[in-house]
Amino acid sequence: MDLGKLGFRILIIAAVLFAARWVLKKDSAVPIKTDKVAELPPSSGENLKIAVTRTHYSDAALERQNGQSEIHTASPREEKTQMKVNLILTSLGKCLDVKSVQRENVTQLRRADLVDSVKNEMGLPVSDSEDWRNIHLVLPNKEERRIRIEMESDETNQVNRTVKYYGVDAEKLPIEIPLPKEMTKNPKDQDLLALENKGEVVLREKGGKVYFRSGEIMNFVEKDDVLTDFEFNRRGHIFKCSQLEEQQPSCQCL
Amino acid sequence: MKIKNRFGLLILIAILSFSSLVARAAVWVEKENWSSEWEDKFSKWVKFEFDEDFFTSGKYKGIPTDCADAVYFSRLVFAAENKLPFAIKDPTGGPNKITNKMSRFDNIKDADQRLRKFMLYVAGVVGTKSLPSDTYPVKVDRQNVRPGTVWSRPRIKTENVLNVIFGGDVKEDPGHAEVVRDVNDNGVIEVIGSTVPAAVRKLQATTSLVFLPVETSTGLRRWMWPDQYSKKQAELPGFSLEQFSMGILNEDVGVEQGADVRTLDNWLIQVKRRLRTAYESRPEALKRITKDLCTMTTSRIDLVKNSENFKRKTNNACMNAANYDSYSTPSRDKRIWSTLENAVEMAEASGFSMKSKMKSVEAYLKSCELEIQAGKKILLWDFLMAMASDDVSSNPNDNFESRWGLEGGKKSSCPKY
Repeated sequence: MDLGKLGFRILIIAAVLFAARWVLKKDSAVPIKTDKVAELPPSSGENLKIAVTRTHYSDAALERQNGQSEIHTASPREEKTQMKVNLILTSLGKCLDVKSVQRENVTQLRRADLVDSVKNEMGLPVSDSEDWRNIHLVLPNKEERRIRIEMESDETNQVNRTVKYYGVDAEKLPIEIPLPKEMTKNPKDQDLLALENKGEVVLREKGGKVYFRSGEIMNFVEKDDVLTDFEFNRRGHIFKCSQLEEQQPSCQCL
Repeated sequence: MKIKNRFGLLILIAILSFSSLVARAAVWVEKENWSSEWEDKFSKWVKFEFDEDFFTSGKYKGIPTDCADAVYFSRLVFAAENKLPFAIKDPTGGPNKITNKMSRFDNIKDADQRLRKFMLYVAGVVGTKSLPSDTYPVKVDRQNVRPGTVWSRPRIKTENVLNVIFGGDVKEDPGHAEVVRDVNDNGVIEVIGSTVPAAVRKLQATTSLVFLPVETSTGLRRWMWPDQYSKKQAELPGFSLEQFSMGILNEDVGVEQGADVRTLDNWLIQVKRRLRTAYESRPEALKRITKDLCTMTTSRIDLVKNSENFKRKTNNACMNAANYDSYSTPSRDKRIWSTLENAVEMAEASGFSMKSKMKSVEAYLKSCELEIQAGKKILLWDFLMAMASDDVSSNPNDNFESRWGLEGGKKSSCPKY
């Protein structure tokens, strides 16, 4: 067998596959996927109906259509995301049997938006707790660092804050960098801030819970203050949404 | 040779060289892939090999564990021994998974030592908070709830939320995790695991699932395969959220009839009903629960002993918060109490006080003897009666007698944490 020819053929095939993948990904449709959630209320207005139809187009088609559509303040992409947000809020309301308020001009769902949406029925939160936090830094010498903070209860029901500090290796995996003992458990806020200020913060990730007066609990994960996952527990019902940053988040009602 | 062919040959050589380099850089080289057959083998291995002495004797002797470490290690060790891939999400938020392919330990030539280093590294990054990212909740049936399934206990108890409503802070119990060791014919789930703080210790097996799964990040869960991380959890085999709606008073009645209060007792009954292939009689159930109580109280013996040794070394000085946390037993004692309540409920005992109700299970509780100190034995019955009288202390600053509810028990004036 001519090894040279074989190698060249492998290269050509790889290049074709890569190009095909790029073309297909670019042109994919962007419907919102929801599982076991309520349908949109039948009394949706005309504008809502039009917007729903629009989501069936690919990004490229929306761009082409832009010049021909009526004047909107939001771009088609923003409008599509706004739709996604309000669909989620509507589904949440139906699942948990609350009147969730739609949000105007919200293209990225934040914790405050979710709370505002349900506060008429659930009231304002009475407490919240943080479970964990990740902070990614870039030092002045371009090295990466990560701070991992976890909140955990101990045998005495006391909530303790444990801190770990990491460098990052060539495989982007954490390597623990020992901290002084006083920094590893319940450090002072100013010491934690000093650690953070060693570099530029490029990512903040956080997981926690919000408690409402009537017993509801909302679990959430957010990245740079934007929700990526949340779960609402209310009177035996659960509404859960994951991968909110994706074009097709996954939501379920139990 | 033509230029095109020469170029192609160079490309092929480069690809082959790169492949061989990647193969060498790993904690272990995987030769198999996860499949339902391998999951069956994993299940069998956990049932028969992952026993109480796993980290105190044999190949993995001396590896410290806390509850989450033991759970992760059950999967990691099986994967290593069978050349399967092991992958978990990086809890620090990095873009790449932590896998057996990582090259950091390449300088360690001995395969067993390399594996140990990797295990310690994984233990340093994982915890009960990372488990939800590496597992998913499953349907309650014998295909999905079996040896190797993860049991992740919730961090917060529902009752605590009521404290908030009436103006208190939310007090939270620590998170915990164990591995299902067996599901017997009666549908009873036996779990095995470690505890905190991380230490070299025997694992403890019980059938005591004393917490109701509330959040979907908890409960009975299956491990994700490395290639499943890119998929939606709802599409994974066995995925189900049903366990989070089980436990309603009357399963047939359901929410619509207003019976929407979930209780742990009902949840356990319904889970058992789903998993059983034979009925467990009441005496069998009481024997099983007594065995759990005996196991849990026996594991308390060493902890109290270590606490007393520590106090002797420090001339009975008051413990600081860290040592207090290490040697106190409120979670364990709470679990023992919940299990006792379960026993009394099972016996359908009557009476106004726990002490009077306990009489219905007296014979069972007297079958377990505890050597709490060299030459000093008490019955489980005596210990639990003392607990019912509020004479048992979980405070490590209190004296030995107080820890066991014996005569001469004295409370200390040291600060409580």
